Amino acid sequence: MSLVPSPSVAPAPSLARPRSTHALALLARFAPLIFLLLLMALFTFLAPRFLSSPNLFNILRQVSIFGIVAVGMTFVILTRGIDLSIGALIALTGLVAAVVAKGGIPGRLELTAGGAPFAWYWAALAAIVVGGVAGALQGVFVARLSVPAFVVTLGGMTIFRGLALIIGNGGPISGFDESFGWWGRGMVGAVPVPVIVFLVVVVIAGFVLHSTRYGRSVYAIGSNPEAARLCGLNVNRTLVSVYALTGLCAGLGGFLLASRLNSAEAVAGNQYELNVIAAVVIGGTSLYGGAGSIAGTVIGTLLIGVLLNGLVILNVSPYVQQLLIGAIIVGAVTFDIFIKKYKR
Amino acid sequence: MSIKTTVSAIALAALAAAPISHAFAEPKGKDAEVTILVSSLTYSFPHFVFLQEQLEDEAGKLGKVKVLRADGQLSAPKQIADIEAAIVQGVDGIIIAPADADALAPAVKAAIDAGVPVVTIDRPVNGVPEVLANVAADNLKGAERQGEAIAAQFPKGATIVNLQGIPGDKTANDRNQGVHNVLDKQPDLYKFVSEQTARFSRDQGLSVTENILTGQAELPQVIVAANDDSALGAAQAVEARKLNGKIAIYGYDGSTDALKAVSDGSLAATVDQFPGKQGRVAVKTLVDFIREGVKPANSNILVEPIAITKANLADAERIGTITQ
Amino acid sequence: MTQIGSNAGTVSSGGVTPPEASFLDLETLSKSFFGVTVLDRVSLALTAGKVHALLGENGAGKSTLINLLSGIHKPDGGSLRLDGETVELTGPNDAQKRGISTIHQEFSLFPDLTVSETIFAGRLPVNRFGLVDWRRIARQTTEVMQQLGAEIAPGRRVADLSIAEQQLVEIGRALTLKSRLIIMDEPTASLTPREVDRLKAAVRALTAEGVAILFVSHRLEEVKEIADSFTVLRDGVVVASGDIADATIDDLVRWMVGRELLEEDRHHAASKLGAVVLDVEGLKSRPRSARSASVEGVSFSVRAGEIVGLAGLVGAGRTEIARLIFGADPIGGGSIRLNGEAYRPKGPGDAIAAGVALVPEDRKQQSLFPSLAISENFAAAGGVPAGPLGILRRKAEKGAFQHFRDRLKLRSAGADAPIATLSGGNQQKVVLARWLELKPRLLIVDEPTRGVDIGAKADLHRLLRELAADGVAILLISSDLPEVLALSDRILTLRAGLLTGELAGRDADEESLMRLMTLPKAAA
Repeated sequence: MSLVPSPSVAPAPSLARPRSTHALALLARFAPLIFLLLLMALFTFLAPRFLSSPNLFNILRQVSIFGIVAVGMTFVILTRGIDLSIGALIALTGLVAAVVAKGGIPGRLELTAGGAPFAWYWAALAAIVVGGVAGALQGVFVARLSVPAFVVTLGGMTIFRGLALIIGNGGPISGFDESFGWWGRGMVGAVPVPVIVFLVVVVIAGFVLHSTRYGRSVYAIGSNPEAARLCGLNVNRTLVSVYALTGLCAGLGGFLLASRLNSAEAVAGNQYELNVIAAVVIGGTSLYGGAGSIAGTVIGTLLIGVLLNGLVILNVSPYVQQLLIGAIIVGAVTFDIFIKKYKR
Repeated sequence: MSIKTTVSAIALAALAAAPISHAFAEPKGKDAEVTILVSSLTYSFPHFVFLQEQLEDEAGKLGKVKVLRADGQLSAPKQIADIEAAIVQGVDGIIIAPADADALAPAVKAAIDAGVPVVTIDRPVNGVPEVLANVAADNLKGAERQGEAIAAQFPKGATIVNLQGIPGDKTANDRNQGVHNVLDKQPDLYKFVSEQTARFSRDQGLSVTENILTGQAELPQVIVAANDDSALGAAQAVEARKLNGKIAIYGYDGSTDALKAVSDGSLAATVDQFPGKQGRVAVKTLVDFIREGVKPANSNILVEPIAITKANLADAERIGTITQ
Repeated sequence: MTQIGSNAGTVSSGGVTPPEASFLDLETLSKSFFGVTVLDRVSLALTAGKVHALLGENGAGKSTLINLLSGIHKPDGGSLRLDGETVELTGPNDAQKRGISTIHQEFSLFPDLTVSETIFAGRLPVNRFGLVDWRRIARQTTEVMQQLGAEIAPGRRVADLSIAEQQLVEIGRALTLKSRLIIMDEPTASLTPREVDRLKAAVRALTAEGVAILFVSHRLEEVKEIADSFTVLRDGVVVASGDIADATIDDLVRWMVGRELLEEDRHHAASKLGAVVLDVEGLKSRPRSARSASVEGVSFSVRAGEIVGLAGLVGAGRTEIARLIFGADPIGGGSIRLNGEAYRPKGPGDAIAAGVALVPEDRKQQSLFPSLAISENFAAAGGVPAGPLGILRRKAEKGAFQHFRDRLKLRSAGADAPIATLSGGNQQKVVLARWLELKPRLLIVDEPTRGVDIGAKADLHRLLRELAADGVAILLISSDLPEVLALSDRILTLRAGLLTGELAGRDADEESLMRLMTLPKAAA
């Protein structure tokens, strides 16, 4: 189980290190960013429209929802965990938001007298709370009962998808009022609202992870759970919290997606987990835990967004796209690992 | 219930050992209780949910018909398992919307050999002529109606963006093929400027359309989508860019949301395959046979899909659902 | 032989060339990584049937040299001659084929295999039906283990063996590979004295068979006893080599460290002992799996300013006592008083809050955060309290670390560098600093100098004495009896979860400790 690189094997000349390794260290640190810029340069060369500002905002808006979830996922992966349930949780929380915004489900559930709608903030709150509770429950299974995260969240995935189907009765719930729709479709100046929400989440999460005791305990637990316990850190509580946090992010994402699509349905967020995990890993967060950053995740998210956008703009055949996306994900991560290894 | 449950595994084994071709039981009589299994392709798509609801409604009208639901979850192995379980349970008949025309053929054959009549719905299974009936609206035909609606609205030609379904999916392939069948006859007039997959999803319909609109030097005149969800996503991308009315968007399925969109003009048309009618016909055909031994005149019962535009909105099956 | 820098003239070269032809000659081997020279023109000769000791502090280049010999790295310059023929090792398999086996610090064993499967891994003999010939395997395994003076059943799972036994299995594997050179990297680092004796016997059995041995160790007493010749590396250069008989331990230390060691004056006068800090009464562990040792009811106390040594063989329950006091394992019975008050920690968090600190025995598994920076490893237990809202005070952390860096003579590139860039000794200093920043009243150190080079060891010893002088109560657990003797005011001996004796530090010697540690019946 010990996947931790052994420090003693490295030749590690401990004191002075010559210039060339500094350059390599720098390269290693920014490998995902370099990869992103190279990809953008390539797309711009092939399709100059790619670099236009409306398109860049397109990309930002398109990545903002799964980017928010990727931020949460970063916490989970930093603790050596994984959360496969987020796509389903986005669908479930989106439907919860929709039901609340509609004041019930016609003929089956009345939340208010006569199904009068609730304001958007109740809808958002409901989605976020449901997401957080669902995440925390999974966290309890992972931390307290030591069920592998993969299994817990795989089960969670089907459970949440099932609940979503029950709520939506297999169909969509659509048509919300303006203030609800603003969160997904509105603009502040030239900037789409979801992009602003994404940025706020990124800044808060980045700060928490880098500058608070909580953030450090997340890294410590991922780096060496046993040592973390012996340092007096509450490992179980922290583990539950990261799954809860990812659930909160999925809830926020579910609300935003429902708002953006003006509709919520059980098939929403399908396969989001794959894009989200790919984004986090491309961003340099180690699946072995303890290493990674929010900045990296943002870059990974953008990389996925750029890829999906650029390939469509170039009108690449959908069949070939799947192949290219897979190859580029593996390539980006391999590049990152290779550079890091070479540095040592 | 009593009779069915006595159909034991031993009897089944005997049937299997002596493969008599479809030894159907005698007709059960006019008012006999009947239990049927409905193995739906999935209950995640409104199309099939509506089909099921209408089917059960019809069953209620027929009286003394018990409907067991089995969610196929888009998976042939799941459906095979459900059918096998149903044979052992001793149902009187099976209605199935098969996930895979070839993979399900042996299971359907086994059911018929065990004396359980089968009606396929939505699409047939291959190589089992003993199937009582196939009630379907051909996706290929429906997509041809979609293509014809485009040709009718743009007789002088158009530039077209094609939002396909899930790559490799049979429905997606048929719907794509149908549109091409019609419009490729006049390649000078109808140009597909971009063909991308929107995976039948609203989310993807929206973002892929955004990306395509960015990439195209000139606005396309038509967006044709493989289902209503992706068409509605496309409509949102168009609306967000204040291009309402400048691009005609074509959906497929005749869903409630799509009918609303057709009526308010954000979609040009959708295609109705009448899933409710399919469900009703299927259950009636099956129950009639079980009770009275009546076989349909033609085992291939086709429900003609039609394109629904603003002009013939009233013909849509789910028109009643759009006024809440 | 090339000499660089200060320590010229320390080469003693009496009788280096033995009468027999050497099996393996290393001639002016050099290796550098990213422009940093790790080995600089190193030459040495290994002879069949002889034990050659390779000495040096961590970072001196020993590991690199081993990696060159076992085919993991390729030299940049110089050559290897095997039986007089120049060879180039293409990889670990090639090295093994040519008769060079390495027993690494971290064992390459597969924990879920049995002893015989491990020994014959990758080359299980088959019978005439093409099936694995388990009977033959078992027989040969027993033979090999007997040759090494060990009785380990061939069918036992490797994971169930002690570290010493695992090591013997590795040696057994090397033997069946018909190895002519066995490289042993720190083989005694985690062994008890008795296990060391068994290893020595195994080594003698190997040399009698004509196997050459390259023996890497920090324990110079053992080296003196076991080796025939030696080479000392420092900063990648050979600073001394020769017959072991011609060098004293002090000589070896001086060559390795490059400076005189001040300490090792046996024992400080335990003058001003304070109040009782820790008072343990009938402490018991909860019954757990058969494999882990248990504590069966022990009573003792530690006073402020006192260093109490806890000596016992592996499995005697030393570590388990430490973990109970620290709240890392649930207490099964008995009571603990801390500073006169009842104390029953529910977890390490409680213990830390009560002023108890534990430096655990396994640095890598239990102390280090490999992916975090040095300063973050230092601050991991919250020695520098966070500000409002749990916001870290990184500047204050670095300041506090700087203080320890000077006090502990910690050599490191910078506080932001990864912990993995430090040698074992410096890593241990960081871990100790982590706990000292919490200003504990009771400090428990479990194997504080395992795998630590000799200079750092002296630094750590000095620090423990200073802490005691400052009034910290210290419970010292160590397999290194000279260390226990050198530091402790009082020594408790432990066997099978029970205390078997108590000696004043000044009255104790290794022999009396060993007797108590192996006493057949508890007599506490």
